[in-house]
Amino acid sequence: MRHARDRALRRFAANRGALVGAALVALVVAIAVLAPVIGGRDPVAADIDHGLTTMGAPLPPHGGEWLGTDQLGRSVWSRIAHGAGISLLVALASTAIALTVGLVVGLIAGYAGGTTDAALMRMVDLFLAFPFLLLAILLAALLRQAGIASGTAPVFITLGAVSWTTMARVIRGKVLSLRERDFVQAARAMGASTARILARHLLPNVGGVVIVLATLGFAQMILAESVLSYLGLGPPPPTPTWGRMLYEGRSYYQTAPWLIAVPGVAILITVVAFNLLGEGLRDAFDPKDRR
Amino acid sequence: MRSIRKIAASLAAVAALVAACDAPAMAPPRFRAQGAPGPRRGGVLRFASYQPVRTLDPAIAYDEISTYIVHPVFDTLLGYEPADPAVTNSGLTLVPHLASSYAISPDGRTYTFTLRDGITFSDGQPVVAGDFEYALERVLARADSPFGSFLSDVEGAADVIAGKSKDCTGITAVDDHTLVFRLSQPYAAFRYVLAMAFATPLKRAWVESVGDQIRRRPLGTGPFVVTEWTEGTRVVLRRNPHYWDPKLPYLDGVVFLENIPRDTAFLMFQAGELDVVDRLPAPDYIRIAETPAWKPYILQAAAMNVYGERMNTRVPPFNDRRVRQALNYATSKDHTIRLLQNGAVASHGILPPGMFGRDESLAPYPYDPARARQLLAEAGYPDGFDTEYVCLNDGEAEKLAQGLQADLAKVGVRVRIRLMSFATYLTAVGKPDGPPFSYGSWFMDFPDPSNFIDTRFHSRQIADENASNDSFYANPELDQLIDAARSETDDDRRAGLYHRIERLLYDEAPWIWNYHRLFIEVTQPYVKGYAPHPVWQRTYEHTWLDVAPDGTRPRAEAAP
Repeated sequence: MRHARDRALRRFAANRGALVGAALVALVVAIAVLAPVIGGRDPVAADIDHGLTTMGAPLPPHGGEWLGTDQLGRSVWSRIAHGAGISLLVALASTAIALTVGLVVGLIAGYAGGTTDAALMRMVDLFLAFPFLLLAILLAALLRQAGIASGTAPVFITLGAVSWTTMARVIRGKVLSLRERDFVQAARAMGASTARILARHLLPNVGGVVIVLATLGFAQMILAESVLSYLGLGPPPPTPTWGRMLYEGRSYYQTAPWLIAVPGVAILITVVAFNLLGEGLRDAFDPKDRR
Repeated sequence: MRSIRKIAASLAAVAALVAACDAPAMAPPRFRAQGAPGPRRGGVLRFASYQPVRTLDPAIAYDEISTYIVHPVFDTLLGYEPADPAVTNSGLTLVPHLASSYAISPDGRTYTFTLRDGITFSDGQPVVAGDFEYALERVLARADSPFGSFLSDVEGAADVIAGKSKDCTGITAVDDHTLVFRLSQPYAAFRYVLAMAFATPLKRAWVESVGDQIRRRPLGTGPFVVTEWTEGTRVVLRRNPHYWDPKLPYLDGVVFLENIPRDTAFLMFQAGELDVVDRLPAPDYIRIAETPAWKPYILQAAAMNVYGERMNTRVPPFNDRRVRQALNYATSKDHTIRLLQNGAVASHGILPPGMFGRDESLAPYPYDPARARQLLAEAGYPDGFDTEYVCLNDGEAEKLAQGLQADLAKVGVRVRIRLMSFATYLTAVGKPDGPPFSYGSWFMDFPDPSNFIDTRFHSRQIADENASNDSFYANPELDQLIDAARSETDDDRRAGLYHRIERLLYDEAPWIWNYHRLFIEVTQPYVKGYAPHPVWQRTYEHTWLDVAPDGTRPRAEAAP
């Protein structure tokens, strides 16, 4: 096993795209972690007296605020930096939910086969029949309305709940092929319990697929979070999420273009970074797939 | 990896784009005025609204967009003088329209109107006093008319509303030219009620012949008639050749586009496809206001409305007057006004500037966080409290809510913002167990303080559903003052009563008194005789287009 992992690492290290992705991810994570230190002003503190012109217009990038201020005189840089953490946390939490559900469903369906498999996969089909975003919008609105969860929770619950299906499908496919392999047959012949086979033999072998799926899914979650926030279904104001910054800045696209350009570029960079990283990991784990 | 290079290149392109797009200045007007010495006849005025017209039945139309059309089509006994942007508080004085004169009995209970000679509907049929009686009794009899309660002081009105009678005893057409109203008690604002569009005359034969189509096929007495209404798209008005004032209107017609988003309307205006534009999005307003060439064409009207934060005065911590006062001290009106691009004035109470009965000597609560903290401590909240604030899910409302949130945070009041649609909001705040702290506003129906104060603060208006006193504020002393002011016929004494009411509401602070919003509109340079009106917002009677004799809109010289 060690040998295979080393090979994967070497392949990864030789992939420039993957390295750029990893570096950008590291940068975004560093900004998120260090936001309280490098972010400067409180991201939610409106500064109407000094952060706006006398007409109430946002201030363009200048010495004090290198990314300018927003429509409430708040620091755009501070909001971007603090927003990084929120975006990453939402993506992390929703990916974790999607992964857990997807892993459980995929393992069970793939290993059990037969009626169980058919039933679970029809359920997945049911979820997939709805467009991803429409379902997310519906669910986010319902969660908000019902007041079951507050803050960022409705967002990551929603995103987790609508995106586990892809995970489940891919993992099921992988398990379907694994369960016929000799080492699984051998374990079964030795009398290993189903739980043991799942946990000790199948789970470690889907690890590579899971990491790739999670990384690529992460990028999608960041994008989906900003879409929900842009539609007003994200965390409530004044939470500095990138999607909400876009939403609040959209009508200023002519007078204060930095209000949409800055969060837009932040989302773009982060999504590209995670996609590059994910593709690099895929190539590393599964060289046959390489294009 | 070619893809890497591509991605890097596109990132660089985005960065370059961001760096390059400095805020572009607003282009100067594309058109100019022709320079005619006086009003010129002809031309069609074009404007747009972000919402649709709902109905043209004057007994039903209450929303402001429908009023934009109902008002020019249906005239009333009394109307308002035109607004003059150069004169503060102009446009609020009543002038005779369909009535040539009227008299009020000394006890303030009998109103006798004499109709103008020779007035007709737009099809040429004469208007008689009975047409007013018919139209008003129709309003009273219709359960779906929102206007019946405005006539509640008319004798016998309650019976017609309750369905016990078809004839309202207090409304009598003595002959074709004389109309008499008898009130059960004096009601100082009654004249204003008769200037509302629902008090227009209607021909019984017409209403009965068109049936359900009355909402689309109006027959009125106003300066314009409807020639086309493609619902949801546009309304076209044409000059009424039978209008009682033969000089008016100057325009041949008006085209009103429905459902045009605000930013689209502004782009159309810039392209010269609209003659007037209102409700500018904040960024566009900033741009146009900072362009000197546009300055003469930005029009403002008195702010006949009030915006603030309503509190349910029965629910802790808002049941403590000191808390409500503290929140008033903690809210910076200067901040709000700057967030509104200076398009507002600070308020000390519910009555807007220029309103009869407003105590102009009262100053808004000063911004004084220290005093706020002290009051909160006295009320038992030395560390502030947590609360939820409801606002509408609209970009501007959210911006203002976050400004308020930041102000209140400075005195320890931690506000969570909850967004609601307008319909949900209306239902929610009208219930005693609804959200206790929210945005609140009121738009004037007519320029009399009773329209603001009776409606929002009399304990009679407290209900379990749809309470219009949605701060659930009940105070017998205030009720008594309101009732006395409503029926007082002497102006000075009445003004004195409203001053006392204003001071009481200032101290009791059932709202955070925040601001009065200005109506701001921009016209093309050739639009003359037009100003946003404090009551109607839009009137086109005196509007004319200073364009070339053949009707072409003259182009401005190219900028050097």
